[in-house]
Amino acid sequence: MLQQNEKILFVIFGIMVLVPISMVILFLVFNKRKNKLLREQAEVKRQFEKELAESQVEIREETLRNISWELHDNIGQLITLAKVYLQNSENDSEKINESVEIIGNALNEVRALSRSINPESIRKMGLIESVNNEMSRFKRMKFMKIDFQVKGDVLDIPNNQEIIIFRILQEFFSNTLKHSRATEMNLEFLYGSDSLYIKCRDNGIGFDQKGFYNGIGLKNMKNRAKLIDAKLKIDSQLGKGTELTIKKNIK
Amino acid sequence: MDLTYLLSKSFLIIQLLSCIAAIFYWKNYKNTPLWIFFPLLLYTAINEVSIQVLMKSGVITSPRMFYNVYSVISFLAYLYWFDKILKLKYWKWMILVVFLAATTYDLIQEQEVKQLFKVGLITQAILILSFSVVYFSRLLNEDRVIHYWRIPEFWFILGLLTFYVGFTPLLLMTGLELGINRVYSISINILNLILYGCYIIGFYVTAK
Repeated sequence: MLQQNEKILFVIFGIMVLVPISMVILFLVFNKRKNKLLREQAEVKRQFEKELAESQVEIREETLRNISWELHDNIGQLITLAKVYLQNSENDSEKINESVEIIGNALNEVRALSRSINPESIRKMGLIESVNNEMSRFKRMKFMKIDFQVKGDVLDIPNNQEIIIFRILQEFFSNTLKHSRATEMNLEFLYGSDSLYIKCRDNGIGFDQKGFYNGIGLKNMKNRAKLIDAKLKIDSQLGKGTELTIKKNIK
Repeated sequence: MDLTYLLSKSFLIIQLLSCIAAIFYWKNYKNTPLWIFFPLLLYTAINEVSIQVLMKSGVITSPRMFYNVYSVISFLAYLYWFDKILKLKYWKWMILVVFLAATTYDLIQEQEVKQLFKVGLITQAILILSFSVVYFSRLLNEDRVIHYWRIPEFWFILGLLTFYVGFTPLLLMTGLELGINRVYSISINILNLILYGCYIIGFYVTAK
């Protein structure tokens, strides 16, 4: 009888120890994994915020560089030309009229530049109109042949997201103008039922994707795309131009 | 008061509570594979109450036949559910064949259904333990593990895993004729309390 009771106690003890131990082990394993994932997510978030802060500084610097470039190479040139005309006009009404026209053009450029920089203007005009404005500016400057097409039914995108898409394109345009020596640029907006696909291609000299441009320029664009949950890709080969693609799902 | 009696009553109460929870939270999980637990728990409650009534009135002397039928039906329900959450594909048919073969073996060996289907139950225990391990190992590699306590399936499988971790050694020992009927009854009741407790938490979590 005693032997049987001992067996009974042994079995109860075994099971009553085994069951809570297995539950505790399971919770410990899950908590450990949960904490590890939380740490990893915090690290990814910290890294992303660091990259974001870096790219914001870079974006600001880049914007200032672009304004400086526009003022010097475009508007500055027009005003200089007007000044030269006026200096040599000797009250010649034809030369004065030409100068007035050049100053008028310079003023238009200042307005267009202001619009392309000011987020409020972009907000008011919308993405397509802002891109059109930018394209018209390039056409006026006769930098290259531009083809801009919009296909599909235009979908509404939140304003802040439109601004980011526009800034990505601006950075790409700016790099094309400054570095690519392209003579043609094709830009296409393709609206699907719930997505926007943007393809922009130039016929410039291209670049080595392992190089500096890829390091900072692409990182900036990618960080901006990440902010709006869009997919961004840049393909380039030396001598074969550069292609930017952006895919954004619109919910 | 006798511990066995107290535990068996607590077991019945928690089983009924889990049935009530299944009804109460039905709208939260009716479109998920968890729906199978609703008829299963209703059947479990009806089965238990029937056994109690029939035993008390003397119509039956052993509930084993009822438990054998219950074990087959409950395993089929669990297999359906695990197939939905683990995507067992063609494996489910192989598992079904193995389980039915084990149950058939029991039927042939015992000649009657009044004995517990031991091989069938052991097969069932091993399979459910394996499913649980697979589920937990998959869950550990998913991001949603961060909020694992909010996943209803986690609680259902935790209950099943805990139950079968305790039940399997018991099942193996009953064949060794150690005279552990009382222990078997006490332990099964405690394990059932944990199992149905986890089910209740699982149903509660469906509302979160």
